Amino acid sequence: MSLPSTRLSSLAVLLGFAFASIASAQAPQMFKPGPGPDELWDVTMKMEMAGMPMAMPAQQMQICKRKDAGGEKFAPQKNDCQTTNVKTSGNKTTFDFVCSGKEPMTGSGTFVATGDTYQGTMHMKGGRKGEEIDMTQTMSGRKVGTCTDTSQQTVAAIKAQADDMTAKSCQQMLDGLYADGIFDAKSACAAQRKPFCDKVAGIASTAGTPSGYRAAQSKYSAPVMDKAFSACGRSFADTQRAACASGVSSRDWSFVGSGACDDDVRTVGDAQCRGRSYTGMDRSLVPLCNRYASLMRGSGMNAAQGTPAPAAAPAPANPVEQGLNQVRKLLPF
Amino acid sequence: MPAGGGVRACVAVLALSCAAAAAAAALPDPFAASATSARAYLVVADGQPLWGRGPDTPQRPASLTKLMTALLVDERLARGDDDVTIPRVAAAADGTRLGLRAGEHWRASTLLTGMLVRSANDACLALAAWVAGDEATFVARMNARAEALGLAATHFDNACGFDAPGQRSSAADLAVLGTAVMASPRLAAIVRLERATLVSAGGRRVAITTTNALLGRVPGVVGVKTGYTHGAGSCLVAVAERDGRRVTVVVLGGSDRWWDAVAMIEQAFATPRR
Repeated sequence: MSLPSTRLSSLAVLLGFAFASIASAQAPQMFKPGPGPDELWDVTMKMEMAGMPMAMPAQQMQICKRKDAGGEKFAPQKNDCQTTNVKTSGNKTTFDFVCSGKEPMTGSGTFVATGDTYQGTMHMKGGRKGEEIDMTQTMSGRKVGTCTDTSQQTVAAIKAQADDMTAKSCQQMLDGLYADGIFDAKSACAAQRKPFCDKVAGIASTAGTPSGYRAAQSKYSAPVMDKAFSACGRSFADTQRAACASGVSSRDWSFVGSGACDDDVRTVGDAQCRGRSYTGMDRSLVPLCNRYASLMRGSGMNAAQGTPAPAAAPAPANPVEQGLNQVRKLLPF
Repeated sequence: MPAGGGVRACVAVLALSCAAAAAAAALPDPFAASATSARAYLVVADGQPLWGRGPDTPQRPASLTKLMTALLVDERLARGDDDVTIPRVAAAADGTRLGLRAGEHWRASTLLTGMLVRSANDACLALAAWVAGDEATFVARMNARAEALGLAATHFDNACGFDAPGQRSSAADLAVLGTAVMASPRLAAIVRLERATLVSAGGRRVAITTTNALLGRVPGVVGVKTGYTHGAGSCLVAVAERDGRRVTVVVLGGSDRWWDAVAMIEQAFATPRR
């Protein structure tokens, strides 16, 4: 809405500031006082509400009004308010307003403005959380100097900071190969999907050998890689199998026995470890055969002999507890 | 704290852990049915028993006996290291030996290294005589210490682990002894050595390698002692540490102690931390 009078337009913006200040009294100052293109106003505002046992103290503040601000922000600064019946006579303006939404209200106002001062009164009625509200707000303002409104720069700075934080967070997810943070439907890092999958492709191209796999695993755990590969439509298991096959062919038993290649350990271990003397075997085989023993003995197969080990004597009901109970009985506690 | 106090503390720690570990003992034992031929074994993780077979049944301990010998020598060393004159009986010892010569002089701490790393019987007998005057008196002290520690299944007839009717211990008792040895900084530093060069007072050098094949082969293994006699079979107390966890394995009377121990250590570390 545009107002017919420039004077009223200025006044209306101040009124808008006054409303906004109710919610933003604690907000950081977003202007620089002193020489500048904008107008610095001292504003005093007081609100009285029916039913309140004591009057609320007046609020005083300084407001920097942008010189190019128009009157379109007239009346309560809420999207769901409409101003009607605006009448101007001389330096006096009256108007009505209606606000809908969660806190609907109706009201009317009167403002008297000179070039460097204004005075106004607004009377509002409405409901809030089921209670009726009837309040009167009076305000006055006086232009006291000049200033520079920095609110737009501040908002821009805050947005830039938020963008920077988001970018850093997304970069961390990319660096850590965290697929969830990038491929989630609501992720703010959707732009990283392509670089993420390019990175996964790079890993896939090198991790198919023991050295490449080790390099990848020094940065990312197997579950993380598995999820990342899956998010990019690749199979980590295939890459792992390729690395293991390469490890077997190059006899990199340290890699094969590291826990990533247990299927190969079972197969190769039959040939390389079964029946060997532990102390007599080549030291290079130790990692492979340690893993083989761990896998095969736990399943009841005698790895060294290649035959099922002889059945043990029937164990007592709870042999561990029985044995250690004997120790406990002899201790002074 | 008197020298024995540390040992008692170790036993207390283990026993208290055991008391709280009824649930741990309920874990299915992957070795119970047929995975090992050992007559007895015990696997302890982070102070809590995981799996065992006859852990309280007396067995021949072979050179695991030297764990107790080492504890008593360690206590004596706390009062000072001496030159030891090798007695004739030590120089004539059977079994594994350093080749000490009667009348030769060696530092007691050097003999301790030879006894633990190489399981040398001549060093063992020389140390027993140094601590107590003769082996019989030393063995009496060993038995007194075993009783004080509440090692009910343990009794010694000799200091070094030769088979004898009264030479016995159990997997549970040996786990306690192994824990006590590892609690001594001096002994813990020795039992993790893969090799050493021993030098006599006269400058004679003897290079030795450990009898513990797990050292340097199984990640995290830091000790402690092996044993073998015809009557005892292959025996082992091993301790491994990884990522703040500690696993103790005792295998007695096994024909495949290394393979057994490797599998037990790996599977114990694969169990969830408690």
